Amino acid sequence: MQDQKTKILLAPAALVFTGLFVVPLSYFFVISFWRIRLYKLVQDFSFSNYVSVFQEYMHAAVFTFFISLTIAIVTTFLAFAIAYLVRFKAGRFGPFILYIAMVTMFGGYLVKIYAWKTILGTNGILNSAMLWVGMIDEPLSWLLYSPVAVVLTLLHFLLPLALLPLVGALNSITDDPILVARDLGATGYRTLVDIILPQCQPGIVSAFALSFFISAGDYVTPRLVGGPDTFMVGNFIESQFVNRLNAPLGAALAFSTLTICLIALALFRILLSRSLAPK
Amino acid sequence: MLSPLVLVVFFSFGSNQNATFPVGALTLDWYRVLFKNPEFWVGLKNSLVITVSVGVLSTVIGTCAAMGITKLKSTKANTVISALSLPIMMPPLVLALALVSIYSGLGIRMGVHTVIMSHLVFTQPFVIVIVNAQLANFNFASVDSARDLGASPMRSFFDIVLPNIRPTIIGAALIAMAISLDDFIITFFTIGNGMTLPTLIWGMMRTSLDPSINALGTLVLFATIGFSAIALRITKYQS
Amino acid sequence: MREAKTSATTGKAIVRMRGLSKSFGDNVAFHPHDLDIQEGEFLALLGPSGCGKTTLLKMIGGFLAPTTGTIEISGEDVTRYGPEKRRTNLVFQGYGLFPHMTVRQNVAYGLKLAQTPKKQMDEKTDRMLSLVHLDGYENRMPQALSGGQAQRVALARALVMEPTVLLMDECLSALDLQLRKEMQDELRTIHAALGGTYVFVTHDQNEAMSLATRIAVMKDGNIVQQGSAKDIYENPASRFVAGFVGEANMIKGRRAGGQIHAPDLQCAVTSDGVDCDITIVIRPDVIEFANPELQYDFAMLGTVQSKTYFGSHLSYDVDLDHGRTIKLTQTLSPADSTPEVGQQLRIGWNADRCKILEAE
Ligand SMILES: Nc1ncnc2c1ncn2[C@@H]1O[C@H](COP(=O)(O)OP(=O)(O)O)[C@@H](O)[C@H]1O
Ligand SMILES: [Mg+2]
Repeated sequence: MQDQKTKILLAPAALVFTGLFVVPLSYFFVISFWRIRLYKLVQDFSFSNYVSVFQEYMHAAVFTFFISLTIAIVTTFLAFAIAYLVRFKAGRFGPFILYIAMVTMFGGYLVKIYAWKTILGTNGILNSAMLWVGMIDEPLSWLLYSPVAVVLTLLHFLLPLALLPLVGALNSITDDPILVARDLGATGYRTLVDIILPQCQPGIVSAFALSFFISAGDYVTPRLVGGPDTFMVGNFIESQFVNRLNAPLGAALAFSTLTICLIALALFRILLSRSLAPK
Repeated sequence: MLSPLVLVVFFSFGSNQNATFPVGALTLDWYRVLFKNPEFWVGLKNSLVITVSVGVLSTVIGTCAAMGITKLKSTKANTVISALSLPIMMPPLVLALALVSIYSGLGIRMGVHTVIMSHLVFTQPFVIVIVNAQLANFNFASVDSARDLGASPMRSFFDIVLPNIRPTIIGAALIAMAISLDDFIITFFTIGNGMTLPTLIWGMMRTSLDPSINALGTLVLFATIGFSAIALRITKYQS
Repeated sequence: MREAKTSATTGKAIVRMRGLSKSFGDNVAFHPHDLDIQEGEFLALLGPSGCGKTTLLKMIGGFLAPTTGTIEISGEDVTRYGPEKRRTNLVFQGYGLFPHMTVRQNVAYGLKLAQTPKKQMDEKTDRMLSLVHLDGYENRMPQALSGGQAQRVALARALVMEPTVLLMDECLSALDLQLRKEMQDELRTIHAALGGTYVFVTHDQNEAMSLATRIAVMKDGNIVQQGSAKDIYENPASRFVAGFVGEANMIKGRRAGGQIHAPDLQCAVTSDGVDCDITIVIRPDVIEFANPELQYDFAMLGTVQSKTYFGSHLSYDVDLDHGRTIKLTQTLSPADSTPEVGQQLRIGWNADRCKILEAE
């Protein structure tokens, strides 16, 4: 009877999850093997979409992979640094930083992109400021509409999101083992590497995965601040849908990217746990 | 983290058209322009309907699920929570396209209702995680005592559990609303021909340098940040 | 600042503290003291919660910088050193095991940091693990250990470093009574086998008495008395010590002209000393049911109010005729008659077995 009740309580959430996540994604996966003929979906089973992904979009995939990897690594690293300061160094200031992070986390995806557009533009604040200080003689045009802008914008957007799992992980580490490590002769650096980081592994993986996947799937940021050369896989996927009405190819592109990302994530996990394993 | 956002707010009150410094004189012109725009009112209405519906539905569904999860063994509970949280990890574009594909595959007409459905799948994990964290601290012996004193399971939920987790539930609802209100990608694809405030921002960003975008952005920003801030206050950072 | 209390003893001091104190803001957690710890001794810091035991221990270990004063260990001034630079090791109350390391990795971690050669490290670790009876548990993770086992790992991890002073902070208090007794025996055995200087913090007087060669009783940031268990039990220096270490009946009175007057006493007793308010401290085991053939310095009438059986002894509350209750214990032997509740009888004790405290 207890079991029955638990099932009833979980049923609506399970229904939403299945009906609006599992089923659509499975269908989407199936579509990736179909074909388009005369603007109509044709049920089929062919790998031709994947073949063309491989042939035509490899460069975009590789570019996306590296830019997302960069963003994920930088974001995770910065978020860890902030979370570390909040936990161990910031004292009274810590909760305030956290508060800001949490308040801005869920707000203004588009506004943040837009804000960076105004900051990095040729007439933007950054250029104006640097001109005024005399660091540069003419505005840096590569600030906006470049991979740098994409990295900066996404970093800013992802930082609060990545911060949360890391703060959680660091807060669940108790003080005693850290004090014991010092007592046994560990320097601050050794304590970090031997005691703190290994215990944060799940948090680090979450932060990394979150930043990596969201970057890899984003198309709005590259579209708005990335310029003509920064085309990421997301842009191609979107354009297959919106402009060319070729859903199967878009789906194949999406799943190829997801697969690559998952493999990368798995590698990251293995690498991380190898390098942090106690010897 | 804050400064880019502060900037937008700043420009929304300045007379300079190009959103560069100097900001210019203090003005409410851009808000006036915005409020004269009929699309703003359409977007606002849709956004309100979506935000409120998603807030209510995901809170009810998520709270039920969280209650159910507390009854599971901890390893199983963790698995369920991780599974239900997968939609957060999924790039929104992929989720959006998958949803669009199945809606059109099934011949479902798209509009505000499909947006609400779609939002549920990635707002409910937040509600579940937040409420579940609070329930983990809740002492279920008091429910047993209530049952012992003759309360029905329903009655003991409303008399004992709910009053204790009410702030958390309200907080979770506000977070869900903030996420829903802010979402652009999934809304954009699943709303069909409709529009919401974020899709309006998108339109403005792509077409012209319309300074009322700063005003609109500021409004959305204040709403989402306001929701989050209130949520944090009443839950006292418990998540 | 108050003048430092000198309680330093002569002999071979391995830790020498001079004018040591610690304040947190306005709150003085440990008042200025001189304190020496002798090589090879097992010192217990005993006192109620919040009296500053952990504060003192953490200053010795280097986890807290003292507000005033200096600490020397083995003749070297270590006042400004952190724990990583001191040859002391602390066993924490919550053990502080590294949750991501096996038992073996936990124990070997300090040796690894000290870059001990592998062979030597393995040998030392093995020896230590078997000393604390953990052979066979080397590859367990801390989560899979019982409280007693976790305690042993924490102890082994500190001991393997061969610290000049081993510091322990209430490290047995989380264990249940049975296990705690076993661990006390084991700690004593290990101390006897390995030697070394141990400082042990506890709020449990039985634990302090069973382990320590010297006890320092603390109260409100002060060390109020030091000495062997017997010393402190028999000659408490204050009402606080008398009440905290063992049970005591305390009767207030006044000494005037070599005579003790106390409203609770039904008799007058002679006592040398200046005229002042006094407290008579009488341990329950000192009081007897009066044998009519014997003479007692103190003797009075009362009624047995309650009687509790403890196996090896009986404990009684006896209401004296005008209200005050006296506790006494009676060691059981088959020949003894045991009074019943409600029985009227005479109790008595001798002056040389009780302690007279002059007013504080
Ligand atoms: N980090 C700290 N900050 C402020 N006060 C402290 C701190 N640590 C201990 N205290 C205070 O110092 C006093 C002694 O504490 P402690 O040494 O932990 O006592 P014990 O170990 O005897 O229970 C207490 O009043 C406690 O509140
Ligand atoms: Mg303590």
